[in-house]
Amino acid sequence: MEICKKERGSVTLETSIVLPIFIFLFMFIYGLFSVVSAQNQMTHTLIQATKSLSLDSYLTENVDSAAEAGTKFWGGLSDMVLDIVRIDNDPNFTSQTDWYKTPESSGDIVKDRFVGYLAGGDESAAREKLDNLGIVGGLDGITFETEVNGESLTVTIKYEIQYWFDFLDMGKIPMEQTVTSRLWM
Amino acid sequence: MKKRIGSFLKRKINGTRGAVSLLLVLVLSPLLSIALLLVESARYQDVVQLSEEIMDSSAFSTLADYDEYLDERFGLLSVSQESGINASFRDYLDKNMDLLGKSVTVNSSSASGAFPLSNTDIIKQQLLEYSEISVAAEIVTEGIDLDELLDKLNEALGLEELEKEIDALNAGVDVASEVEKLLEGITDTVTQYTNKYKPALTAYGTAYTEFQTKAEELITALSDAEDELEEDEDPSVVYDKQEVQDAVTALKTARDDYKTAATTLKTEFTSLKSSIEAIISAADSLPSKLQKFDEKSSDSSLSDQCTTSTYDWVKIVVDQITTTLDATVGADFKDKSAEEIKALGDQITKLGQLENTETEDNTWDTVITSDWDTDKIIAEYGTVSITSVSNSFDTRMNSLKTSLDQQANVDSDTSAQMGNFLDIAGELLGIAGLYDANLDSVVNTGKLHANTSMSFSSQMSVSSLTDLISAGEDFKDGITSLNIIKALGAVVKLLKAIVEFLVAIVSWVGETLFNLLSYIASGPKEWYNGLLLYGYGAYNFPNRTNYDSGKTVSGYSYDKIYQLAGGQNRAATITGTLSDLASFGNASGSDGMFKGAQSEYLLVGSTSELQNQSVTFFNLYLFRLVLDIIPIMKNAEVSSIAALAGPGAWVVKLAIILAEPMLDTIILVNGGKEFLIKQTVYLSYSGLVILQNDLVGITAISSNLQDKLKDTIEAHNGTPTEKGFLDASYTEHMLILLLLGVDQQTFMQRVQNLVQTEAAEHYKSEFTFDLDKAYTYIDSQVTYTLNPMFKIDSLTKNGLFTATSRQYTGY
Repeated sequence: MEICKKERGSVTLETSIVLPIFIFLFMFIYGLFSVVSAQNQMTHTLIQATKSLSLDSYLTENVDSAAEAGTKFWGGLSDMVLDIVRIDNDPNFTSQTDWYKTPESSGDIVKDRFVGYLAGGDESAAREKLDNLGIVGGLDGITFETEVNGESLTVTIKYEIQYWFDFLDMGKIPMEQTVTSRLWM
Repeated sequence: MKKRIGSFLKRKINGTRGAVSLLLVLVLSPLLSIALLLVESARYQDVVQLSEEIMDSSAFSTLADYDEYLDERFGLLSVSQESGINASFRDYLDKNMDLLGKSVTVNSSSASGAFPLSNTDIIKQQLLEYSEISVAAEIVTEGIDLDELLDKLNEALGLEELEKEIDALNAGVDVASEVEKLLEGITDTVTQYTNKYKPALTAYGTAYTEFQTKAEELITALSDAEDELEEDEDPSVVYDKQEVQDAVTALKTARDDYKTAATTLKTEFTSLKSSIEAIISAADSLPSKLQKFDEKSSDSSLSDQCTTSTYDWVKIVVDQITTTLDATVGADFKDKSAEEIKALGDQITKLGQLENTETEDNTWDTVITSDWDTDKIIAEYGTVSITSVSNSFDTRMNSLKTSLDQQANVDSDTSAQMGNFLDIAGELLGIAGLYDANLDSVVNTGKLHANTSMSFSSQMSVSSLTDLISAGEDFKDGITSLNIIKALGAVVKLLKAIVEFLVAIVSWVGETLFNLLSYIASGPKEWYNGLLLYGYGAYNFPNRTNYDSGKTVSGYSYDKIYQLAGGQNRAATITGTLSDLASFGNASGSDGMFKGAQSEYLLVGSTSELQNQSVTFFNLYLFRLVLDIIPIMKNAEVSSIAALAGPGAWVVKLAIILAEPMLDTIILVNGGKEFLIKQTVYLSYSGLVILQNDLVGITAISSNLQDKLKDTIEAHNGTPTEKGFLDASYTEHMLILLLLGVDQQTFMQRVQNLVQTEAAEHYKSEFTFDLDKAYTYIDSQVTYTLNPMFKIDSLTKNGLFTATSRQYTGY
């Protein structure tokens, strides 16, 4: 009888202590999986975007465009054809400017390319996706840094992934990823 | 057992304390573990996928180090041979693998080149991709309708009309040579008649006269002897009389002579009969041959006043011959002459019988007696009357020949017309323009990537053209010789030369432009791909007309190529005539690359740039000749110009057929344009004005020659419009010749040779360029270990899983 009285509520107590721990573990694993998944998607997008950016220089350098600054005009018939054909090209996948010569001002182009490979060029869909991935600030929360060193293009993205539950404001994980590709020049 | 478990539980489990924890540990831990495993598995998949992407990106970066010269100059992409593929790949791989942090440990990585440009399939694919925009755009701006071009080429090069004209001309040759043989036969027969038959006939008559005289003397002697006989004397005693014996001896001699003359006459008459029958037989066959000539000419749509005037001329000759023969030799000649020959034979036999009546005593028998008179002598031994051959046979035949000889004479204007055109053709065939002496490289065969045999080593030779002009000259001489046989011989020779020439043209088309049939059979896709491929050759490689000022479709200046090859002298040096064609050979030289006649190399394949230009020039001339023949033959103005030469119309037209394409070729090699299928011919009233405009700036054709053209053809006033299909430059002509006359495999090999030689020369101070190392793919292989999420060295050390990825990444 005494024993029963002493032990009354022990299961509840035990449960109230242990169960949250287990739930926490499950949530942690789930959150870990989300973070890993988000990181992988960001890595994939970054690799593809950088690869695409590195190709911009090939077309820009080889086609004398009517849109280029200076005295350059079409260098030949094929230049004219290529220039006309690419007027309708999606800016999320190609660029007509030689942005790589001033990488510090190429943020928008890198960002657009990133959006292109993340969500097919749809910025609102990209924002939504980034929110779902837990990127803090969404698209605006990603910092794009571009560096051109000789013929190598280096793109770095910095962002924070929000753990799916923010326990004591400790759920923001800073990420920094860098991809290097060679410019086609 | 149950008690043991029970006692264990009682000792260890204190009631319900820890039951929840235990439950959770026992139930959820495995669950948790499985969840973690799945997460880890998913992470591994992601790592593998990302590793592949990083490999691809690294290979892509390696490909980014492409050969800029090949790209700029040829539009070809291959990895630069200056840097190492493996080192570059590993550099980028190492940098980018940091993306995966400690998830992966790279064990080994390597990359090597694959599928070099020396593989003809690879380079062909790149050329087609490059040409899809560049060459296609060029073709569109030149206004080339591809389907119509194929149809027009098929029509122009099908040559069915030429083959029909060849048949018509062969029929003409047949009848003209028969007439020539007939006339020669008539001449021989007249000679035979005059020199053999007629003397024999005269001798025969004379021998009979003598025979008759001697027979009459014998009769007189016998009468006198019989008058002197006594009453009881034997009448045979008369033959002992000296007068009678003398008369018999004289008659015998006369008889022998008469028999010999008759025998000779029979022999000559028999021979003459055979000759005349041969003439008649030959003359009888002429109408059918003439009709065949007429029918074949009607079948040919190219037949015009040339063929018609030849037909008319021959027909006049034939009609005159048959009319004269009919009048001179009767329709019953064969039977009548046979009877006369038989009669002569009988007479000879009878005269022989006269001989056999002699007795041993050499006394005359009673064959000829004293009661014979002149009429009896004539009746028994008179001459056989020969009426089947007219006594004026020789006169009539000679008169026929004299009349026909007058046909073999044209007036001086006509003769001059022929002569002028032949001179023009001869001068044009000797005009300078065979090659540009600035482009004189002889490439070292060791520098080439692959050796190919020569193409367009034409079956036709220059001599086949000069022989034609020579036949024209002989015809002009013959037709003004006042000798019908010589004229006919010249007609036969000319027509035969034209037939041989046309046959050679037809066979040249079949042997040289062999791709045409395959394009027609295989359809538009092959035709379009062919245009792209060969268009690349025409529009991206310089030729003799644009090596100093032209550029590729992507804007690369050809002048750079000329400079690279060491070209210096820029003075206009277009020189060489067709007679120089045989002076070049395909030997190895010391030059590293061609200076500017690269399209010509693609066409011909010789290591000598001069030979390439020369063979191209000649074959371009033949190509223009084939394209121009039918427009010339059908051109009304040309026909009327030729008609001024009467029976010499063929000579005029022939000269134009030879001269017109030479004018085209000279204009083309000097940078001008010509309609592929002409409607306006230069050497015509309206075309001459256009020619003068097109010749501006072309010094190859002297002002003297131009004046001669103007004098020979009186140009019409006004400014006529030149008409035709597809105004094409030398470059477009090269495109079509390449398209039709070079097979794709040979073409690709020659493109490879040009790429190899130019790139080798460009890079010679830096490294040795090798087309076999111009890789278009990277073969990369990476072996890596997948590390666990929480790597604890003391526990996990190395990852459990190792993966190997291999990729081919290309342009």
